[in-house]
Amino acid sequence: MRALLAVELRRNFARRTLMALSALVFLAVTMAGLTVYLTHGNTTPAQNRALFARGFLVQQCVRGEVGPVELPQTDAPSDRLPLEPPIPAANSAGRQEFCMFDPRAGIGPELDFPKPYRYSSLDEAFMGISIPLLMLAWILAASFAGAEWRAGTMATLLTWEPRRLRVFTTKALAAIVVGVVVYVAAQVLLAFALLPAGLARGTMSGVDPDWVWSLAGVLARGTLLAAVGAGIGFAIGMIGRNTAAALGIGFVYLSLIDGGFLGAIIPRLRPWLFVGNSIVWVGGKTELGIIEGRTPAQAALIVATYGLVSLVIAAAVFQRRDVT
Amino acid sequence: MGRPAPTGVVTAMPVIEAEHLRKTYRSVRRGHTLAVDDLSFSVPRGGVFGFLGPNGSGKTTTIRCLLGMVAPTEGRTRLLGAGPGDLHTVAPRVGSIVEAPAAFPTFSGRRNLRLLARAFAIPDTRVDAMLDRVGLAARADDPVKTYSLGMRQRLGIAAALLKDPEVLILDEPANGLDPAGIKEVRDLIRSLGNEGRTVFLSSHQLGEVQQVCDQVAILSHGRCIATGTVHEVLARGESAVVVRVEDPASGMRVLRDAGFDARTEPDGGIRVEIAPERAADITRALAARDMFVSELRPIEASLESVFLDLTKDADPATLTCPACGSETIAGKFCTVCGVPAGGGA
Repeated sequence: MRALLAVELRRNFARRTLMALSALVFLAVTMAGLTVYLTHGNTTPAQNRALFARGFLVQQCVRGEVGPVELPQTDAPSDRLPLEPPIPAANSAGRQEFCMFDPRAGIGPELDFPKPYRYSSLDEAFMGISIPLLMLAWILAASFAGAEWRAGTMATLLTWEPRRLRVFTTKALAAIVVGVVVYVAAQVLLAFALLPAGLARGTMSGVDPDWVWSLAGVLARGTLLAAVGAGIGFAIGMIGRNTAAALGIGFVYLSLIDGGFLGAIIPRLRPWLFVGNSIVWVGGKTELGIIEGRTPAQAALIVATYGLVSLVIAAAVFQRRDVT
Repeated sequence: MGRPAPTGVVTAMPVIEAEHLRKTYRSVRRGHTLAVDDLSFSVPRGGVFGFLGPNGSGKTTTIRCLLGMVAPTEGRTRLLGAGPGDLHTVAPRVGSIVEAPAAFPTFSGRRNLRLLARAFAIPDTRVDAMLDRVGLAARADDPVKTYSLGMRQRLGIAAALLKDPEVLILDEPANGLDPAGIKEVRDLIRSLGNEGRTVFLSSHQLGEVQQVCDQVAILSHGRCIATGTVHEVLARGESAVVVRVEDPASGMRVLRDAGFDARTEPDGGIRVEIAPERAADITRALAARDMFVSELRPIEASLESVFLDLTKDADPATLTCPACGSETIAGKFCTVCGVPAGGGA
C-alpha cells in the first residue's frame, strides 16, 4: 500500500491542474506581498506624532472620553506606535462608544500617508486566506478523483489491486496530503511575501516566540481545515465520478445552503454549517461572534465530522457500485 | 508472480469459470437491461480462448464480472480459482485490458507504465521491454494524448503484460488497429498462447479470432450459444462444394437426380451442400453422365458463417410486456418497467 500511495502522490503532484492552480496561488500571494509593500511605508517624526495622536484619540474614545483633548507631543519610534488599538470585545464597556467613533470625521489629524506594516498581523492574513485555500484543496481533490474516472484509469487500477477499500484509502490519503501541502506552502509563501513589507515598510514589533507559537497554531488549525476540504472534495468526486459534479455540489452547498439562503431561512441550521464552524476553528477564539458560544474545539469536531462522514459515504458507495 | 505452464501442456483445471452468470443493469432512464443471461463456460489452462459475439452480446460485462469490477446479479465467476472476494490473491497473475485501454493522457506512455509498475514493485527494465515488445518504444516518451487508438491499444497490451501474467484477459485488443497492426497483435497473442499462458480473447472480429484461437465460446444476447474447439464449432456450420461444368443447367439436373442439394450460383458455378470430404461423390455422379468437372472448390464454414447460422435461430422473439404493454424481448426483463417478460429465451 505504501508503494501505491507513493505512486498516487507522485501522480497527483505531477498533475497539470495542480501545477496551474499552484502557479495562480503563487502569483496571487506574490501580488499581495507586493501590494502590501507598496501601500505601506515608514513614517517621519511628524507622521509619527499624527499617528500617535490618532491612536490616542481612538483610545480616549474607547474609554468614552470623546471630545476635544490635548494631544501629547511625541517622537516615539514607529514600532511602538499604538497604530490600531485593540477593539474592545463585544458587549464590553467600551464597545458601544468605539462603534460610534469615526476618527476620519474630523476628530484628530488626517492620515493621508501610508502606515507602517505590522508584520505581527501575519496571523490575520493566515486566517484570511484559510477559507480560499480550503476551497482550493476541495477543487484539487475533486479534480484528482474526477480525472481518474474520466481517463478510465480507475478500472485499470482495480484490475491490479481489486481491494477497493485499499484503493480508496490510498487515493484519499494522496488527495488530502496534496491539499495540506498546498495549504502549508501557500501560507509559508505568504509569510515570505509579507516579510519585505515588515522589514522595510513597517515594524517587526511583536514578532517574538509567543507570536510564533500563536502563528503555528493558526497554521496547524488551517492544516486540518485543508485536509477536511480535500477529503470532502475527494469524496464528492468519487461519488459523482466526475469533477464537474463535485464542483457543482460544492458550489450549490456554499451558495444555497452555507452561503446564507438556507441558513437564513432556518436560523437553527446556522450553528451546524460548515463555513461558520471553519472560521471559528481557524480563528481559534470563541468570542469571534460568528456562531454565538461556539468554542474552537466544538467547531473542529463539527468540521471533522463533515469530512469523515463524506469519506465514509464515498467509500461505501465505491465499495458497492459497479465500475463500468 | 505466477509462472506460465510449459508450452503445450493443457491441464483439466479451468483457469476461468462462469456458472449461471446473470447481470442486470438498472438505471433510472433505461430501466433494467439484461446484459448477461445464465452464462456458463470454462476456460482450460494454456492456449488462446476466443470469447466471441457481436457488440452488446455481454462480452465486456462478463469480463468485468470476472475481474470483480461488476457484481453479478446471479451466478458466480472464478478466476484461477478465486471468486470476486479474493481476487487480490490472484491479481498479480492476471493481466487484462477491459474495453478501451485507459491511461493518463498528459503523461507519456512510459510514465504511465512506470507508475503502474512502481506501485507493484515491477522493475523499470520490464516496462522498457514490454514497450519494445508491443512496438511502442519509439513513441514511448510522447504524451498518450498524441497516440492513435492503435497505439493506445498497444500500450494497454504492454500494461497487461507488465506482470508477466499467467492469464491474459484481452477485451477487443485489435480495435482501432490497421491491418498490419492487427496481424502484429494476432501474432503476439498466438505467441503468448504458445508460451503456455492462457489468453482469454474477446472479440467481435470472428475472422481474426478464427486464425488465432484454440477454443471459442460464442455469445448472443448474453447467452453462450456454442463452445468448444474451433474445429468443433466449425463443424456445426454448413459446408458446401462449388463445382463448375461446361453446361451448368445439365449439371444441375444430373446432381439433383443423384439426390444432391444443389443450386446455381450467379457466376455459373453449382453450389452443392455437402461436406468437402464427400466431393468424390459429385465427380462420380457427373462422370457417370459423361460430364467432366473443370473446377471443384470446397467452401469451408467460417466462425462468421457459423455465428450467423447460430444466431439466426437465437434471435429473440418479441412479445408484449404483461405489465406495461410495451414491446419487449421474450425471456428478458422489460426495459420500460423491469417486469420479467416471460416467454423464455
